Amino acid sequence: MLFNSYTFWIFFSLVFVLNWSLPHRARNLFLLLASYFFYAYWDWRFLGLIFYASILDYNVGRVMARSDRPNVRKGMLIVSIVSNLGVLATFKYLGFFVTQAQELLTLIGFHATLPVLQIILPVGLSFYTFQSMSYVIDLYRRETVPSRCFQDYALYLAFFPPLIAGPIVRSGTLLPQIENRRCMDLRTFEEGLYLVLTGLFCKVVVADNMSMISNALFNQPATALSGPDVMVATYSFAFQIYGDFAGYSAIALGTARWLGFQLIANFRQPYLAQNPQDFWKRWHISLSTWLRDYLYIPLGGNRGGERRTHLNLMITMLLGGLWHGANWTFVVWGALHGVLLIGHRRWVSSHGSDRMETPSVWKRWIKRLALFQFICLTWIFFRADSVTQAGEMLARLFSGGGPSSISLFGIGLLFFLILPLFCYECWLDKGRSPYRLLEQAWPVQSLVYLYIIGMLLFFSAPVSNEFIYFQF
Amino acid sequence: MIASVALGLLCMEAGLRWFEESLSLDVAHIHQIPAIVEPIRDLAPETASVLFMGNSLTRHGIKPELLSRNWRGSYWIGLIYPDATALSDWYFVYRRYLADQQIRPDLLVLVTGPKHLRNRPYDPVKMGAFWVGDGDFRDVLTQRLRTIEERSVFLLSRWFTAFANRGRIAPRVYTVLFPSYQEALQRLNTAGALGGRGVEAKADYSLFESWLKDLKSSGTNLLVIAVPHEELYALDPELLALSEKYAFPILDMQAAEIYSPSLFSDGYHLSEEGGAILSERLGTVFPLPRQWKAAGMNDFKQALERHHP
Repeated sequence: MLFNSYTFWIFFSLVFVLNWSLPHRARNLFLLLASYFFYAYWDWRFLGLIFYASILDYNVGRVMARSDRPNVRKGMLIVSIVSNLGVLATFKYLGFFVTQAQELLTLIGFHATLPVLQIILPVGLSFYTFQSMSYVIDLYRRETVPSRCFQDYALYLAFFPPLIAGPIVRSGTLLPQIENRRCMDLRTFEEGLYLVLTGLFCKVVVADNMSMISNALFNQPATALSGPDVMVATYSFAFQIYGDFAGYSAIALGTARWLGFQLIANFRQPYLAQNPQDFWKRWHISLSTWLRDYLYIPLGGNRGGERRTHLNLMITMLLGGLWHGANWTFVVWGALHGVLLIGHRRWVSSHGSDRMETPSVWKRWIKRLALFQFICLTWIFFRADSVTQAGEMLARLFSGGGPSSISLFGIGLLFFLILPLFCYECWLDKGRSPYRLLEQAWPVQSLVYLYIIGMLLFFSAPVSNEFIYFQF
Repeated sequence: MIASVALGLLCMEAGLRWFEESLSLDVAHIHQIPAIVEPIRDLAPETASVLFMGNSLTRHGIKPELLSRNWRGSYWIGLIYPDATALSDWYFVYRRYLADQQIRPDLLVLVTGPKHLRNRPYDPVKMGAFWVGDGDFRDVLTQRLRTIEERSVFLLSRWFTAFANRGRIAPRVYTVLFPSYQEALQRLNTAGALGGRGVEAKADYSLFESWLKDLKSSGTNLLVIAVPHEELYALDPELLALSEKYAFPILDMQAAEIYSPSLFSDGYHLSEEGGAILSERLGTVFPLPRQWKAAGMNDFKQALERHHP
C-alpha cells in the first residue's frame, strides 16, 4: 500500500477510527495486527522475517537485562548484530558480492560460474533491521530500558507508518509512547494534517513530476544528452529524491501523529544547508544519527586525531552509501560525501569555524548554492545504473549543445513547482518550529492548504512512481 | 480554517461544474451526446438513421456531408467521437446514451483503428464521469473494475467534477507557460514516461462479442470501418471471425495508393484532405440507406454485399 494510494487511505481511515475506539491495551494489539496486515499486503512471505527479528531482539534484550556479566551481555549483542546483519546481507548483498567475486576471479584468470540466487529484497528490511539493532545496542550501553512486553516490542518494530522507508525510530522515542496512554487533541490533529498534506504534495506533485523528467533523461544514452540536459536531469533528480523521501517521511510522521505518536523529523530543509556537516543534520536525519551513534562513534569518532577522524568519517560514509543498495554507484556516492565532509573539516580547522562570525546574507547563499551544486553532482552517481554511466554523464556535463524539449519543459517545471516550495522552505528555515505555518492566522493556513490541495488535484504527475527508498 | 478550506473546495467544484465545457472541446462534445442521439427517437419510420461512433479518428475521417453526397431518400446521420476512447468506452456510451434510453439507430457504425475493438483496461475516470449510467453502475463497480484504486477513482470521478477533470488543467496551463510543452509531451510519450492504458498483448474481443450479442438481440445493424493509417495494418483474425459469426460487415478502407503520408496531419489522424477522400470513398461503397431499409432486411451484411459484391 503506497501512501499516495486510495487503498492506503481507506485502510488508514479504518485504523484511525478503530484505534481511538479501543481502550489502551487493546489499541496496541490492534495496531500491531494492523501493522502486520500492512506489511503482509506488500508481501506476506516476509512477515516471518520481521516476526523473527522481533522475537530475537526482544529475548536478547531480556537476557541482557537480567545479566550483569559482561561476557553474557556482549555475547547477546554479538548474536543480535550477527543475526540482523546476516539477514540484511543475505537478502540485500548476497547477489552483489557473488557477482563481484565472480568478476574478480575472472580478472585474475579463473573463469568460474558462481551460483547467483535471485532473492527478492523484503520491503523495509534495511529500516527495521537498523531499528532493531539500535534497541539492542542501546540496551547494551544501558542507555535504554528493556521492553517488558513482547507485544509492545513487536509493535515498536512493526509500527506501520515508518515501517517501509523510515524514519528509523529509536526505542527511547517510540517504546515509552507505546507503553503509555496516548490522546488526540486539536493540535495533534492539525500537526498530522499539516504533515500529511505537505508530504503528499512533496511526493505526488514534486517527486512524481520531477521523476518524469529525470527518468526520461537518465534513461537515454549519455551520448544523446547535451550539457544542459545533464544539468536538468541532475536537478530534476535532486528534487525527485527529496520530494519522494521527505514526502514519505512527512506522511509517516503525520499518520503516526494521528495515531497519537510523535516521531522524529527526518528532513529539515536539507538544500538550505551551508556546509556538508549541516547537510547531514538536515538530510535523512534518522539514518545519519544512527550511523553517527552506532558506527562513527564506536569507531572512535573524532577522538583519535585528525587522520583517524577522517578514516572514521570515510568508513561511515562508505557504509552509509552501501546501505542504500548493492551497487558501486552508492559506494562512490558515499565516498564523495566522505570527501566532502573531510574537506570541510580541514577547511574549518585551517580557517576557523563558521560559528565564530555571522555570515552575510550573500555569503550564506553562496555557500548554499555551492554545496547544492556538489550535492547534485553526487546524485548523478546515486541515480545512475553504473559508475560508467555516471562518468559518461559527468563528461557530458561540460559538452556543448542546447537543451532538449524535455529539458526545457523540465526547467519550466522546476520554476513552476519547485520555486514555491523553495520559497516556503526558506521561510520555514527562518523559524524555530517545523510547524511554523500552524502558528499563522487561519486565512494564511487556509490559502496554503488550498494551494496544496489544488496542486495535488490538478498538477499531480500523469504516472505515480513507487517511493525510491522502498528499494533500499 | 477547515471550514474555509472546505468552502474553497466547494467553490472550486462549483466553478468547474460551471466551466467544465470550456475546459475542452471534448468535454463539450461528450455533454452533447444526449442531444446528438435524441432525434433518432422521433424520426419518421422511413428515415434511415446512421450513427457513427469512434474517437478522434472519426472526427478527422468522417465528413457526413461528403459521405452522403449521393444518398437519396430520407436519412439522419449522427457522430459521436470522444477523444482517446476505444471499445471499453464506446460500449458504455452506447449502453448509457442509447440502450438505456430506448434509442436504437438503424445502423451503428464503429470507426476503428488497428486495435480499438480489443479489450483494454478501463478508464475509471471517464467511466465514472461520463460513460456509466445508473443501470451499469453496480456491474462496473463490482465486476469490471477490479482494484480498490480503480473503484475509488471511479466513484470520485462520478461525484466530483473537479476530480474527473483534474487531468485537463495541467496541460492547458503548461501549454500557455511552456512553449516547448507539446514537443516535450510527445517525446515523453515516446519514452514511455506518461503511462497510458495500453492494449492487451493478447487480442481479446470478449467485450466486443458481448456487445455484438446485445446488438443482435435488439436488432441493431452494425458496420465496422477500419480507417487508414500511415502504415498498413492487419485486422485481427479474431475480429474477422466475429464478423462471420455475427454477420456484420467490416469495411477495410486502407488503400496504400490513395493514402500517402501527406494525407495525415500528425502521422495518425487524417488531414482535411485525407478525411474528404475517405468520406467520398466510403460514400461509394456504403449502401444507400434507402435501399437496405426499404427492403426491410435485418441482415445488413447481405445488403452491403448486394450493393457492393
